Formats: sequence, structure tokens, C-alpha cells
Amino acid sequence: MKRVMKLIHKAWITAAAGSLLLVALSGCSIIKDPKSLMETPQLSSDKESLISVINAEIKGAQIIRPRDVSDISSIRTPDLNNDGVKEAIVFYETPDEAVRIHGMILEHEGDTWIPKVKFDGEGQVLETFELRDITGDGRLDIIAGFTSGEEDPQKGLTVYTYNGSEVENLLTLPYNDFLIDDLNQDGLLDLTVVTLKRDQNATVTVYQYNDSFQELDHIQLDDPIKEYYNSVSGNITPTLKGIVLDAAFGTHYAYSHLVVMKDGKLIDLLPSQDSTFKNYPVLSGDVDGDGILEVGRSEKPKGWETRPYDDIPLFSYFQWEEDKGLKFVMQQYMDLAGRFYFNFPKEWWGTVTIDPKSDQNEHLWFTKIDSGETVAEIRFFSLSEWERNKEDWELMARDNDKVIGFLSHTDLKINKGEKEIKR
Amino acid sequence: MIKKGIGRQIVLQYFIVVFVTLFMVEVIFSLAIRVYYYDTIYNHMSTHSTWASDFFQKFVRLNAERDPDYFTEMLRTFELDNTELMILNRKGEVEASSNAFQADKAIQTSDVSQAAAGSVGKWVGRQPSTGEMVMAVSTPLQVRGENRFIVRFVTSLEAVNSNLMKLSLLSAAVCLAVLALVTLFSIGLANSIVKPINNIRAVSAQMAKGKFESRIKGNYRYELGELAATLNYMAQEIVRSNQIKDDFISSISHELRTPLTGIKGWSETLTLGGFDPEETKLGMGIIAKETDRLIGLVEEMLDFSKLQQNEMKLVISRVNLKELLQETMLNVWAKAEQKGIQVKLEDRTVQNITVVGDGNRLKQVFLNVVDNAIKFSNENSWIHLVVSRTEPEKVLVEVVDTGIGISEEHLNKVKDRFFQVNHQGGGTGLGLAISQQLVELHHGEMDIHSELGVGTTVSVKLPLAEPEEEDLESTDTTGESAVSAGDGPDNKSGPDKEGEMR
Repeated sequence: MKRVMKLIHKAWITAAAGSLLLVALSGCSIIKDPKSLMETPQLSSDKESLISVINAEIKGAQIIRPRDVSDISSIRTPDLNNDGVKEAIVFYETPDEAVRIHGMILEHEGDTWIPKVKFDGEGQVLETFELRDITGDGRLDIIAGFTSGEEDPQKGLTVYTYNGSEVENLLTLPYNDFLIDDLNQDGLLDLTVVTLKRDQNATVTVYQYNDSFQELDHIQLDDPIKEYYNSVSGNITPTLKGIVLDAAFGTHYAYSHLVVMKDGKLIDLLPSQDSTFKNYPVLSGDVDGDGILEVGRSEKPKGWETRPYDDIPLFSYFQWEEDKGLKFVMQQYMDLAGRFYFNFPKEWWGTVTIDPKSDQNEHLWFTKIDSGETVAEIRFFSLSEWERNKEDWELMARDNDKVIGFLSHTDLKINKGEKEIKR
Repeated sequence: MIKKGIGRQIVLQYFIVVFVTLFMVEVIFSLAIRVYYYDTIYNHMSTHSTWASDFFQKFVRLNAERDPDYFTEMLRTFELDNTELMILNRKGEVEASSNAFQADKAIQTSDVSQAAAGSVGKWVGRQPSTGEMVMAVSTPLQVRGENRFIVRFVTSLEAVNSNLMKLSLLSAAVCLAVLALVTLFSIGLANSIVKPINNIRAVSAQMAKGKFESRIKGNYRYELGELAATLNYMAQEIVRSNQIKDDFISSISHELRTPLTGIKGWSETLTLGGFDPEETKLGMGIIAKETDRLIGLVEEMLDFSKLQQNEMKLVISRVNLKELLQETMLNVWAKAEQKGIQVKLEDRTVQNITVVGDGNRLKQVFLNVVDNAIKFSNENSWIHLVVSRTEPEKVLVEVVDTGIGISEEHLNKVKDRFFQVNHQGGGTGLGLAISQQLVELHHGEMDIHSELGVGTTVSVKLPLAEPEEEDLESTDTTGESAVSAGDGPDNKSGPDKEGEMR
């Protein structure tokens, strides 16, 4: 029996060694670096098939994204011709062809996508593309902006419409900025185009579609600038619609135009630059979120009269009131180096100033104008200092080597409760 | 494969223990490797995200958020291979994504809400659109001191999970192989225990059927070895005691037949012979003697069976041992004289020796011992009865002869019932067994030392009685008092006539 056991043992030792070897060898390939196993998530099968159809159709050309901060997606799938079936629109570039940019429309049929029509774009770079019913026929139109790709702000605007079988080019215009809104408030969208003659003047023209695009009105603005760094449209007053154009000049000075359409006519409400002068290109817009646009202006705090405009970190925002002109809405402290900003609380307006002894890179004191009493402080800490002071100070912002803290001497808090400084 | 029994039990126990161990190891291994894979991927994404967000804030930070390249630049900065990158606003709405499509709706998974609260968020779950297992890592991105955006990386875990599955299956296979190995091993182990047991069981079954000649073969260790040896010994003993019993029956039949033949012969002779007074007297004498012998035999057997059943009653009194020995010597005197044997009492004590016991029974013991000594002594030799006190509270009586002696092989058995070295000598073979038990009833010990051809010493050790006043008076019995065959009184009772001792 012992001999039998020995034999069994021998056989099993061989088998065990063999299987261990097998495990060790196969282990090399099965234990992988986890990072090498990461995969880009799949798209839904619908999108996957769309992309493969597009790629097959454009034959190696590159799908492009618009250079547009509002939407940089390159493939959009709306219902263009209002037939209840989704279409897909995509732009792609063929760098070696005479026409560089092309658009393509595909239609969803069953589970797959059928390429319907291709059309040519202008220029070298797709600046923007939007889908809006600018013609008022209940169907979305394609509004695309192109540039030559050079440092030339002159751009070309093209409006396409798709009727289910072909693409029609409705309008081609040069532009610097365009806005789609209903300025004349007739219930139909209109197209506001801003064109600039560099360092001379600007023209704002409003078009509306009526069988073809017709000009409603235009106005010339004497702005010897290179570009408007910001343009927004919306309600200027609760009843009037218009646009705000922020113009920059010099190194970083700026001012704003407030153009409204009243009775079909465009009116520049702020022809003078002074009332909206700012030493920093702050953005006009609906800053307080009430649906009405505000324009910004630099505000010299009390006690800062002798200091140059360049240093001023305080900005006031104004709305337009039809009879009274600009109406103060809110005040905002903005760090000129872009590190933080905050809105003054309501009770500070007109009563609290920034102590002139403040250094904007070290320590800020907010004091009452009448008594000189400090209500709040903002300080820049090194990381080690912050560890010692974080009991008392509220964290406002931090980066790698600095922490910005806020210390309130009243019951004011950051982003907390009713008395807060809004961000 | 394995039939019911201890073997299967052992294998099953091994199997269960190893299975449970391996199962736990497997579970722990699977969990640990899963944690390792997931954590590595998470760390990869969150480290990249932290690094990129630092880089972005230091070098890429664009003041003009209206810059058309804002998100494109951001996507380029944060881009990470094999992930989908999304830039979300604080509400979870997708501002930009590395895939070509517009996002359908805001993303509401827990990683986004964690990132919105200011910390790095992680989420593992299924993509609502594709059902794919993904891991999402979201980090807040500060712009102007404010957490304005959320950078969200999404990577598919399908390949990871399938690899984990492969690993788990492989390790499970290894575990199964080990389990199989251990099970086979345990079968071998079980066999090494079960085979001897089966062997022993088979032999003992044969023994139970009466085949006492069968023996357990094989050299087993420990308990099994002891068990085998015990069983073998038991069988041997059973055979031997059967043999003894058979011998007893044949010898007792013989013993009974001899006097009966005498009685029958004489009674027939007397009936046929014309009642000659002389002849009648002689015949009747022989008949009476033979009857006495029969009675003696039956008495011996009765004694023995009483002793066997613990029904022997002793009549306890104080007995003077020296007197008792002298009486014994007188009783055997006639028989000793026939063989020219001298029986001597050698007293090595200075006081009276008194023991507590049944005088008749003790006498029976010594008669038996001395009678045996005479029986196995050569003619014209000596038998010494030595009385001594080797230890306190004990008295030792030794009956020393220079007879034929007993061989070592028989020495162990002479005290067994029915054992006789030589069946021609007559007797029942019960004498020594009865004596032994009687001595033990008196709390004493009886030992036999013998050497073949040299002689035999039977020693009887008895406890002394509590001393009484009269015992303290020393009697001058020092020295030797020998009873020789010549000067002893005639005593009609021989060692076989034990009826007289009752």
C-alpha cells in the first residue's frame, strides 16, 4: 500500500507542478495594467451607427466642431423639415479641396441614417452654427458663420434652409457679430448683424425674413475699435428689446452701447462713452438674473479719488429706465487679476467703501463710509498662514500657493443665509 | 467511488475544510483584485484631473470666457486617453464633451453632485443610454475663485470587468484543481487509516464466528497496533482456556472413574463372594476410601465454584500461624514418609505469629502447597517451611522444595484453573487456583518461583493481626523445629482428605 501511495504522490507532484507552471505562465497575460484596460465609453447604438454612416460618407475627411463657446458639438440631430423624423447635420472639412468646408444632412430611417444632401460652406473655419427658425415657417434653419482662419475678424454669415430634399442658401453676409432675437417684437425672430469697419465705425443692421431677408433698419456707431468683445441681446427694459455691445479700446479700457429697437427704429441709448467707462473689460449681460440686461461701469470707491482708474476693482451695474436713464442695480468687487469676485450685499451699496490703504494683492478692508468702521476684510494667505488662521477666516478661493480668506465683522457670510455675499 | 464509512467521512471532512478555505480565499482575492483595478483607474483619472486643473489655472486660464476657443482649449487641456471628457456647469449640464454629439440632458449622477459640492466625486454604474458599466470621476474646476465647471471623465469598465471575470474564473479553476488534488490526497490518507481498520474488522468478524486461529497480520502503529495485539491475544487466550477446560473435563472424568471403578469392582466381588467377613471388611474399607476420595473431589470443585461466584464464607478468628503450620506438617507426615522426604519448619521470627482469618481455609492452603511440594519432590529430599517477617505487618511463609521445578513457560499458568503440567499425576488442577484465591480473600499474596530441575519456592504473604496483649508474650520458638518422618504422630488423613479440614 505504501508503494501505491508513493506512486500516487509522484503522479500528483508532477501534475501539481505542471498546473502551477501553467498558472504562472498564463498569469503573465491575464494580470494586466488596469489602465491599459480603460476604454472610451460606447455611444448609444443610434449615435454609433450615425457616426459610422458619416465616416463612410465623408471618406476620410474630418468632422469639425464650431469655434463657438455656446455649443461646440459637431453633430446635431434636430427635426429640420418638421416631418417628425430626425435629421442629422454635420460639418466636415476637406483641406485639399477648393471648397474646404462642407455640410451634410442625413435622415433617420428605421435604424439607420441615410445621407440626404451635401452642401458647401464658405471660408476655412467654421465659427459657429446654430439651428433656429429664422424664416418663421416653422422649420429650423441652419445659421452658420465662417472665417478665413486668419487674424481677421471679418466673418461670413450664411443661412441655409432644408426642405426635405435640398438645401437652399437664403443669405450670405459679412459680419463681425450676429444675434438672433425678436427685436421688433412681432413674434418672429430677426437677425441682427454687426459689421465693423476696423478702427472707424460699426454698423448694426436688423434683418427679417419675408420671402427673402429684408433690412428693417440699421444704425451706425462711431466706434474706432477692432472688435466688440461681447454682444448680447435681450430685454433692455421690460417692454423694449435691444442689444448691448461691449467695446474695448486701449489696453483694457472698455465701454458699452445700448441699442434698442423702438417703433421699428434702432436707437443708440448711450452714445457717450463716459457713462459706461470701465478700466477692465467686464461683461455686460443679465448679471443679476432678473431677465433684464445690465451694463457695467467702473466705480471709484469713496477715498479712491486720487488713484488711477487702472487700479479700481469695483464695478457698478445699471439697467436702463426709459425716462430716467441709467439706474443703479448692483455693485461687484472684481479682482483684476481674475482670482475672485463677489457682489456687494444690498446694505453695502453707498455705505461701504474699500479702504484706500488696501493692497489688492495683500489685504483689503471694507469700511463704512460714515464711521470708518471695518465691516469685512479679505486677505491673501500663504498655505502655512492659512492653516493658522482658518478658524477665523472663511475660505473664498484658493490656488496652489495662495488662499484668499474672508473675515466678516458683522453677521455676513459667504453664500450662507440671508446675509451673504453672492457669488 | 468511495463506499460509506470512515474513509468517506475523512475525505468529506478534508473536502469541506479545503473547500471552505479556498472559497474564502477566492472571494477575498476577487474583491481585492477588483478594488485594486478600480482604484488604480480612479487614481489615474483623478490624478490627471487634478494635474490638468492646476495646469489650466496656471497657464491656460482665459479671462475672456467669450473666447470662441474656450471650451476647445479646455477639452484639449484635460483630454485623457480612453476616456470621455465632459465639461459640465454646476447644474450638471454639459457645456462641452469630447464626443461629437450634443448632450441630451443634465447629468445627475452622484459624482457630479459631489464635485458641485467641491470635492472629487466618483461614480460606478451603468450608462443610461447604453447600459455599459462605466466609472465617472468628476472634479470641480475653479474659475475666478469659484467652482464654475465640473470636469468629468468617463471610462468604460467593460474590459476591466471581463478581465476581472477571467481572473476570478482562472483563480476558481486553480482552486478547483487544488481541491481535486487535496481530495485525491485525502483519499490516500483515508486509505492508510481505513485499510488496517478494515483488516482488523474482517479478522475480528472471523473470530466472532469461532475461527480463533485467525490472526491480524501487519505492523500497525499506535492505537491500531494495540488494538490488533489485544485482539490477537484475546483469541489466543480463548483458545487456551478452551483447551484447559477440555483438559479438565477429561482429567476430572478420569479422576471420577478411577474410584468408581474400584467401588463397582468391590461391590460386585462382595456380592458374588460368599460374604467372607475378612474379604467383606477389606472391600468395604476400600469402598469407603474411594467414596471419600470422590467426596474430596466434589468438595474441591464445590469450593472452586463458590470462590468463582464469590460465595465463599470465611469463619474469621485469630489464628496462630506456627501452630497451623505444625498441624499441616503432621497431616502430610505419612505421605512424606512414604517418599522419604523430610519436612522442616524453619522459624525466623521471635514472636507468635497471629493472623486474622479462617484457620481451616489457611490450613487448606498450606496443605495444598506442601502436598504439591511432596508430590513433585524427588525421594529422600527436604522440604522447608520458612516463616519470616520481611516487612512490618506482614508475615511470609515460604515452602521450598528441591523437586523437579516448573519450566518458565508453565510458571505463569500453574495458578490458572484446570492447568496441569502433567495430566498423569491426577487431581483436578484446581488446587493452586483455589489456594491463590483463598490467600487473596485473606488480603495476602501468593507467589511461585521455580527453576526447572532445581526446585520450587511458593511464598505466601499474609497480613499480621492487630497485636493483642497475649500475643506480646513471646514464645520461645526460635531455632528450628523439624518434624521428621520418623517422630511425627500417625495421621490417617493425607493431603487429599481435605474433608477433615472442614
